[in-house]
Amino acid sequence: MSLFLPILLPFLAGLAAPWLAGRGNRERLACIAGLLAPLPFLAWTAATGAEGGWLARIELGWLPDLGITFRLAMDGLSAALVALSLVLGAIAVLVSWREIEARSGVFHLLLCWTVATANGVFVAMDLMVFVFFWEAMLIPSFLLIALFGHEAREGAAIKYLIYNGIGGVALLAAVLAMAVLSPSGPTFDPAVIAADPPSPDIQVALLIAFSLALLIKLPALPLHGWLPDAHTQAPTAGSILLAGILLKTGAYGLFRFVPPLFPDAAVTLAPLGMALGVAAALYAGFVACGQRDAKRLVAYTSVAHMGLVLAGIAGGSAMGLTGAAIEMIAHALSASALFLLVGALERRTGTRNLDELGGLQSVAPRFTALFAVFFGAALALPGSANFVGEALVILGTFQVAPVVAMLLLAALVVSVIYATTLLRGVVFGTAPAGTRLPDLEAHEFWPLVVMAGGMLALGLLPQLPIGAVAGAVEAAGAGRLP
Amino acid sequence: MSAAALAALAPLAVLGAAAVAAMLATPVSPARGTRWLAGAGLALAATLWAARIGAPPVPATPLLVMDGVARFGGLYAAAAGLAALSLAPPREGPALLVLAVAGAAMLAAARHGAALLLGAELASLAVVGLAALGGRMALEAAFKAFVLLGMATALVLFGIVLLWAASGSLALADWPGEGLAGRLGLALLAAGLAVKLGLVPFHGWVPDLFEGAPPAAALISGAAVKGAAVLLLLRLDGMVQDPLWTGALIALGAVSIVAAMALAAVQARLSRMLGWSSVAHAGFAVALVGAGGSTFAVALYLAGYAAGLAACLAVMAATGGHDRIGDLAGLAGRKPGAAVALTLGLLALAGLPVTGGFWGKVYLFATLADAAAWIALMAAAAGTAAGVWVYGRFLVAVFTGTGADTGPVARAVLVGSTGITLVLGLAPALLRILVPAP
Repeated sequence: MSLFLPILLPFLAGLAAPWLAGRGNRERLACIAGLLAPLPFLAWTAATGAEGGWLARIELGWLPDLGITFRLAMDGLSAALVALSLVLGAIAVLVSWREIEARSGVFHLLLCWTVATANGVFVAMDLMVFVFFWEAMLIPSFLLIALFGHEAREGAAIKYLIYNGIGGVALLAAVLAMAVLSPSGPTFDPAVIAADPPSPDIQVALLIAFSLALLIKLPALPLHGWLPDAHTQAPTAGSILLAGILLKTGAYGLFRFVPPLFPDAAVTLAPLGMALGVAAALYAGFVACGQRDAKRLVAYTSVAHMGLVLAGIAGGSAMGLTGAAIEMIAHALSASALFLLVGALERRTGTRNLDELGGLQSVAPRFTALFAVFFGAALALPGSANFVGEALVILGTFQVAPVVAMLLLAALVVSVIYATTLLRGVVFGTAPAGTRLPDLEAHEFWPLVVMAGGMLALGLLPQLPIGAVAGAVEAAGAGRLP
Repeated sequence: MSAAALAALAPLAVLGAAAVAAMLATPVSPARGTRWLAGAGLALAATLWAARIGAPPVPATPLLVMDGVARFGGLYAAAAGLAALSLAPPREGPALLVLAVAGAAMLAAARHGAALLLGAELASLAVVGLAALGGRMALEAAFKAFVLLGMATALVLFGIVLLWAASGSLALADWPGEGLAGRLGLALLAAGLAVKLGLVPFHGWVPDLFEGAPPAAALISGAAVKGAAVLLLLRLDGMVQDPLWTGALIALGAVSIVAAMALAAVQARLSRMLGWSSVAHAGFAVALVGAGGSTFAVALYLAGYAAGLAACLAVMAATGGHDRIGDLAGLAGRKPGAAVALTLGLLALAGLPVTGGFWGKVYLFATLADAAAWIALMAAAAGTAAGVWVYGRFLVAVFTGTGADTGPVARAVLVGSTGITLVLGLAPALLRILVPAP
């Protein structure tokens, strides 16, 4: 039952939003309620659930003559990601309290539906259900950028749509081919396909087609072209959802479905995966250092961090996989927080340009404090969850491919440079005389405090997240489903 | 004729009577009376077909058989006719509409060459007449359709004659008989049907029809007539055991998909883009039939496509000829309901989830993979990927910028088509009610 709620409640809240909008903030409260309501049930399931290797599992018929079952399942990793997406969704609603006035009903509908479909991706345990929710994610998030974005939103939205739309078609074709080629009759059950994977020679082609969509979403070099524009032009809430949730769907798909379904091809293409991950971490890191648009800088850091995640997953070692999973959660918190801060700054000053911003420390202490905290997260300062994730990835990669680990360490150094660039451009320096910059308001401050608290908690008590994802890591490492 | 056969023919009789009544009502009540009479006839025929779903097949005269395919085809054509009725031009429009639906229904129920010809001709000529009734460039569109569909008639007739010569019978069940004449006849028949479907390279009349003719003509030709032709091909596919036939259908379909999507990508007008998309969807449907799609799969594809097309055409009709991308810009702000319907319609045509078109595409890809038609599968995948651009352009325009004002949109069509799209998208198995397993 609790598996339906993370999808159903945000969907209903979003559906109601256009009708509730107009007077007061009813639609915002309804959306926050719809987004946070599943959390207690999620916590209960996480504490008490046990169904084989899963915490919870549901199976209903959908299109039996094609072998499609509506099957949902959740383990520690997906529970963490679902909880994360619900919390980030609620934070996105809070953040847009003042930012979005016109067509607020449509905005909240799109926001809630993005979260609902992403949750569907995280708990789908039937390949067609996965594809269904994957493609369903596309339109609400696309419209969020196209309708509510900044000055160059149309081009950014079209790029997002085309890149991810094409990926989605490749994913569908790969899933169908796998279902048809399965020897025991057409089936979309990943457990059945994993028990008898396709032959190694077509596995590589199938893996490339399957992972195309996931790599575009991640995003992996050289398929990342859509991300900088999309993240920069999206409204603040849109950037939070994109960076915090949508990128993680790609990583989750690679984590969960690639090792069991493509065991041989995963080993064959692992060096390529690690190379792409390292290339992303280094290249995007360097490009980030040269950015003068604050939001674009943070967008490139997202590419860099997700490159690290890809390297961890492709390496396949237990530590690497654990690090990748933790980095997913940590990056969601830190990137969303940075987008929140930069967005709040843009709303007050009207600019994202680092040359024009500056001197925050003298006029806005709360801003400065939180910028400093998440600056630490961005460069993986020990104490932040990002450090745990990145350290584990590097240690894990060192066991498999020491050269790659060295390059990842170099990427870590680059991260110091871009984090400092951002901090310098925003916080240090002197504000122009007479600047009156309103400090963070309650609806921006408290979400950031929560995110900072979460990030520090995960960083200082690493056994918590490591324990939560242990089951998923062990399964992925063994090349099977939990 | 037995009572059962008469009962089976009743829907067609009702349609005929409704067409005559609507025509007679033209001087008396050109706008409302004709529509009400036509609508009553279509609704009654649809009810009669729906009531007999699940019953065993009833042969009615050597020409027709009312089985599952025929009943679904009739119901489908009548539903498309009802949707098109609100878009139909007044005076002779509704009567011609009903005649086109009757022709399509006859085509879906045909088991004899004569019925095939009757149904195809009735449908095509009615569409030509409907096309000429006003709208921009209507005469040119109608004339092109007339000439090309006339050529199709010649091809179909030639094919039937050769098949008769080869098999000694005009019944579909006895085709294609032995020897070269039979295969040649089948090829010519398929070519004639390809013109009616609008497959490449016989598609010349379709984009002009969608652009110039009234939207009702486009909806009937794109949904009802095309659906009936696909169902007839499905029936023939069940009887012909020739791999050349299967391969030819798949190849024709694949070529149509790729060519039509490529040309749809450069269209500036919604109407013309929908015309090219109709060619592409004919390709998808024919490839599905050729690869051995089940009746349920074909029905799901057709239903999903028709619902999406109806939504798009309803909105297009409201624009009154101002349907360039720039004119559609900002529709979401001016008419949110129409914008939602157009969005769902475009998504259904593209085959994205939550719409009925998605499951049609799933069945298509699965069937092509099952038949190991890898090139066609890649063509279908490429066409679907191209669809993201083709439909996405208009989708973006609807939500951004500001454009021309639009007239009122037929609400019933919007609600109906949106509802069907969503229902099929979330619970496709419900269509089993209309297409029971044999």
